[in-house]
Amino acid sequence: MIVAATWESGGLGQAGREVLGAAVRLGATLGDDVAFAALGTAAADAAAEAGGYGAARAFALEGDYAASGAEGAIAALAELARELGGRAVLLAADEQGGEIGPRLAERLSGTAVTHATDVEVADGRLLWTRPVFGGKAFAAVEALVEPVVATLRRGAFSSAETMGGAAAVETRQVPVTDGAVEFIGSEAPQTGVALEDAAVIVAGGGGLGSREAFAELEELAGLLGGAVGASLVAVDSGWAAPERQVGLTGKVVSPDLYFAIGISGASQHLAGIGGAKAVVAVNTDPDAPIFTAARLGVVMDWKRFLPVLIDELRRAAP
Amino acid sequence: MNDVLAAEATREVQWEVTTAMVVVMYASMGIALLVFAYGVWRLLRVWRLGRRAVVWDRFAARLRRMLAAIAQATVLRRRLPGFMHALIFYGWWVLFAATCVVFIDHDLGLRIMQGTFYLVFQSLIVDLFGALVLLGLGIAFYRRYVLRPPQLEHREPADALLLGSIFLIVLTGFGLEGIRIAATDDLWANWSPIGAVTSLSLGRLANDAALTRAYSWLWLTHMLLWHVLLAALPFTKFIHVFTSPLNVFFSDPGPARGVVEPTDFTAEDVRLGINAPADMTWRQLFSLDACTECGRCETACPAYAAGKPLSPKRVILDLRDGIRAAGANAGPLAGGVIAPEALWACTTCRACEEVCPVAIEHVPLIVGMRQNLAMEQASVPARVGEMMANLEAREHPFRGASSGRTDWMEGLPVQELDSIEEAGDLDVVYWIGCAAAFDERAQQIARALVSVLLHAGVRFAVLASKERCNGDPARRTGNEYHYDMLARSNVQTLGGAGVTRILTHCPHCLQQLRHEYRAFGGHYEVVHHSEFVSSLIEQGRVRLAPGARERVTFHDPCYLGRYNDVFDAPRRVLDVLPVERVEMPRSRRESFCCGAGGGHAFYEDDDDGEKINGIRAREAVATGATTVVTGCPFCLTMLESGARAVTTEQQPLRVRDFVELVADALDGEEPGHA
Amino acid sequence: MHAVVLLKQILDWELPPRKFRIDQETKRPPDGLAPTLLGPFEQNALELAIQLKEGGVVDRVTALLAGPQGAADALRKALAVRCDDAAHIVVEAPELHDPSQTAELLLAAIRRLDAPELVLAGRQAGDWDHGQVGHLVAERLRWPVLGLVWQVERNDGRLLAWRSGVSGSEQFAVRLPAVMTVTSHSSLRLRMGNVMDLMAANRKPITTWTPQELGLGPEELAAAGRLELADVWVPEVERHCELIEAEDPAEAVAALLDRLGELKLLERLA
Repeated sequence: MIVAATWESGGLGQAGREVLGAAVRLGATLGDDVAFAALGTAAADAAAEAGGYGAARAFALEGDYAASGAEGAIAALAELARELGGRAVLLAADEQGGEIGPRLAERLSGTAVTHATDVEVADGRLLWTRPVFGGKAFAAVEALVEPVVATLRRGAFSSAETMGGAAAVETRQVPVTDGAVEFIGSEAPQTGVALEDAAVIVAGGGGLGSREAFAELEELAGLLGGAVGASLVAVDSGWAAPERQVGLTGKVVSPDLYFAIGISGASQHLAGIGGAKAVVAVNTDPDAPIFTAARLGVVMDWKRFLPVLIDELRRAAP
Repeated sequence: MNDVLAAEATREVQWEVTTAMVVVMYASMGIALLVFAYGVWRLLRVWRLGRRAVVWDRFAARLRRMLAAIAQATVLRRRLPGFMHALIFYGWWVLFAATCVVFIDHDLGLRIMQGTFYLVFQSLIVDLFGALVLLGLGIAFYRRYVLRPPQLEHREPADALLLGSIFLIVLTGFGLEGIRIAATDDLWANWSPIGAVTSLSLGRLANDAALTRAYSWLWLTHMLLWHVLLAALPFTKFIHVFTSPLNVFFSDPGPARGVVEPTDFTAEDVRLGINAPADMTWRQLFSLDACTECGRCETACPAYAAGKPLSPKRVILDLRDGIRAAGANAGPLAGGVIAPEALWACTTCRACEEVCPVAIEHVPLIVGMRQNLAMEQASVPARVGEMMANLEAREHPFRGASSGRTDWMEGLPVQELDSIEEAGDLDVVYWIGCAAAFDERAQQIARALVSVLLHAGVRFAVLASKERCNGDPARRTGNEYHYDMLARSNVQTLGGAGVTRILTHCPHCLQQLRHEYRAFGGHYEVVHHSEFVSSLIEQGRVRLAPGARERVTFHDPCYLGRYNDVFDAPRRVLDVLPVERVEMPRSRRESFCCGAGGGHAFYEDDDDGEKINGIRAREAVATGATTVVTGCPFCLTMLESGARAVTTEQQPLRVRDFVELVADALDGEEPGHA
Repeated sequence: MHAVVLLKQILDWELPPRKFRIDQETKRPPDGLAPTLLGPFEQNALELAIQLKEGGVVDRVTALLAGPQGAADALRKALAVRCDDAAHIVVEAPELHDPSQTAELLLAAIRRLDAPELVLAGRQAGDWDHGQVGHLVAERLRWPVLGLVWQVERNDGRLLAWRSGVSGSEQFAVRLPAVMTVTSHSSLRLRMGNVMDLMAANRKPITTWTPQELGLGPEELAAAGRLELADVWVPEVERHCELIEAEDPAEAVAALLDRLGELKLLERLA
């Protein structure tokens, strides 16, 4: 049994479909069925859709799992995986997945493989591909002990396809945990489109120089209907919030169009934009590595270029 | 008048001066001297807080500099205040000499004050110079209180009182002379023209008897004023009359300039920079009292011009006042008496030291305090910390660089040495430095220089991957500990001595290799590429093709010019190229820094406002030049950045290293000899 | 409270991609390719640990590192910023690919340290990028763990921590003893040590263990293994970048928008 799990808030979203897609294809190769587990506020809705994408069973894990951090989710998924005899559990490699993955593997006495970008089956063995050295290389790893709990990189696996079929939603309760970790509160969520889902992203880097400079990016993003991202340098300098960070240790994005403004293109940043259909880079340094990843490049100071671009777009907008 | 009478020309000394008045004079002089001595003792107490310093070596050079300063050479570098001060200074000396003549004649009994000498010197010349003193003082008042240049204080009462006292002393002197001439019907009155005029005017105001009565009071006033001035000397900046010439003597006579005193990290009680008076040398403490508050350093300072919180004048005076007030316990100096923002704004360009008429060395004090901030307080601007972390981890200061030390020479027939022992046959070892390795723009300097070297058939090789940062960014930001490690390892790579000549295109590498590595056992013959290329051209080894003329101006890098006296070599090179060379107003010794020194190539100060490089770029544009030429990779990148900020499409400004112009003008690609 | 901060030295992560190479035999970068440095997230964890010590949340910090002999530099650095003690498990790097084995080594050492109540680790090591060690250590200690933390305060018997969540920053209360993995943040830039501390750090003793001394001989380590490294390779990067040549911004903008329209990457706005 292959288990795919998701914890999105709005039902089965893109992330969930990617994990489910990977599970279904893997299941097909191995001859295993796929069970889908949904956590989160719209768990039942997500679970209800899963059957249509090829899941044999669908579970809605209900309860306020977020109040205990990852504790509740781990406990619930561990219980389910044990019950189903899961050979592999597939999760999204986001902040939550980063915590759940290794710990779930430990609870199941198995192996965690994080940030997987591909999986191959060879002689019944699972060979996982994952980026290493900040994305400068790739490694193929094999789990020595099953089950494998794999976190999957966003945009690396294609979405599940509709297959017809249905699976009845089975509800389970997330167990109450010992309260060692208790959720207190959160900062008001950033308004605007989430980076992973944005079709257009305008990102700023070390060349921006200040928080105020990001306001111009906001304007450009607004005109293009996109989201604002930032490089690690910009976030570390305090010019943009950490949630905006794009890169290996930030969000991995796959927009249709990615503007890299004043970003040099360190490998860990390029690792985060590998899924972008097209990158437009604006940088004063023609040898900046960002241009190796860009489709179109403008060698110019963004301070001169951007205002003119914004003006032109404003004029063309209705 | 006939000769017999002329030979007897003289005047009565202490005319109308009673014995009582003389007693008062000697008594008050005694008191004045006591007070003076007390004042000097207080100053000595502060100076003695400092460490040992060597001030008797290179005696001839020191003496020469001091005599030149006493002759007003340094003050006269600024015309109006120089002229004003020269008048007062020389006038004062003449008046003082006159007083000595009186003393010799009257108290010692040697009758020299008579005859032609009396007429020409004691009367005429003294009168004229007295008038010149008044003129000088008049200019001084006018400058300080009417013109009000910003670098001068206008509210300090001591300044007005000092000027006023001297003015009154001379004025009362003329008054006394006038009264005497009038009352004694002096035969030789016309030899004292001012006195003569005074006597005529006074004569109209009162009769002889009244004037004679007034004379005594005037005499007492004149004498007391002088004694008060004497007593007040060590309590005001007027002490500079003694401390300033001495400070010129004590200051470093060169030829090496700006060399930071190494720190002994193996010592029991390691001293980490300057944070208390005891951390300074006695001559540094002494120099604080040589300051005349003229403000020239402030006017010359590029950081001050860019509106940063640094005034070299305030650094000296705040240190002086802080230490005078609290003595040995003054402090903390680094970051306390002197604010950290002021210390971090300095580019170590030494423009302040260059224009200081009394040879105060501001930069060692600033760097010394930076040392304390960096090494003891571990408090540096964030970017400096990042630069240091990079230097520690990767042995170069260019954070985020995507090249290695040999990328710049890819595809070029440049030989890389495995060790310095292989350098035996070569003409020069070319030291690349970090800028040309890791900064894409600076790499072009190295490539241009290599093409010139190949063209001229110079036998050279590089060390490239064996190089480490010369350590200047660490040293100038006060990180002496890391500098020490870098310097020692480079000296190990280069060997102690006997190395072939070292060629460098970077003035910071030049300064380190030529001067500052000596303290670590590295004695090298180092030549800047402007000196080297200039001599290649003189030897006829460089063939240049004609080209389109362009107007250019040369920007003197601080570490090449002020630090190492190289001004002419790059200009000689430019003059054989098809360019029209013009000078910026601030050039050569008074060049205006690009803003990169003191580690600033790697960090910005935390403020807005015009940048130093923008000011300099504007100055270049104003000459009508379309290219500003320089001889330092940091000046290059700084000025390019400055040019981007201030130039427009209509008035562009290119920035190039002079060797790039030479490389462009080379006739023929093959290496050859003339 | 005694805190332990887990450190690791890794290959310089700022090495440009085109210079990066993998030795096919060892499946690792060749020795000497670039300097090895204290990893960036480990630096953040170390800085957080020292800040907690300065803030009175912890009173003692021990730096713990598993790595080759030369990696002791990282421990000297930790001592220079005022860690109280340092401990080094000397192993050659190849043994550190598997996060489960690494966790076992570190656990064995942690159990020998003086009753720590807080373990801080970087969120992931910049070489293998697993991001597992901190969580595995917590699971095997049976301690609660919170990941991606960047600020910690004391609140009675618990710690209040801010961390990066899926859609923003979240605050949690965690009971002690606990493990936290630390992520980068502008407030967590590792400080410079002052020179006196630097010099003193060079003279301080570092507790050293071999895996055998910790009860983890080759067999025990093998038993703890979970991941096998089958292959490592540097991907071929085939990218074609089209540079917009233009003298002034207006020309560049026009050219860019035209090209974006032609490539159908952006609806050419009327």
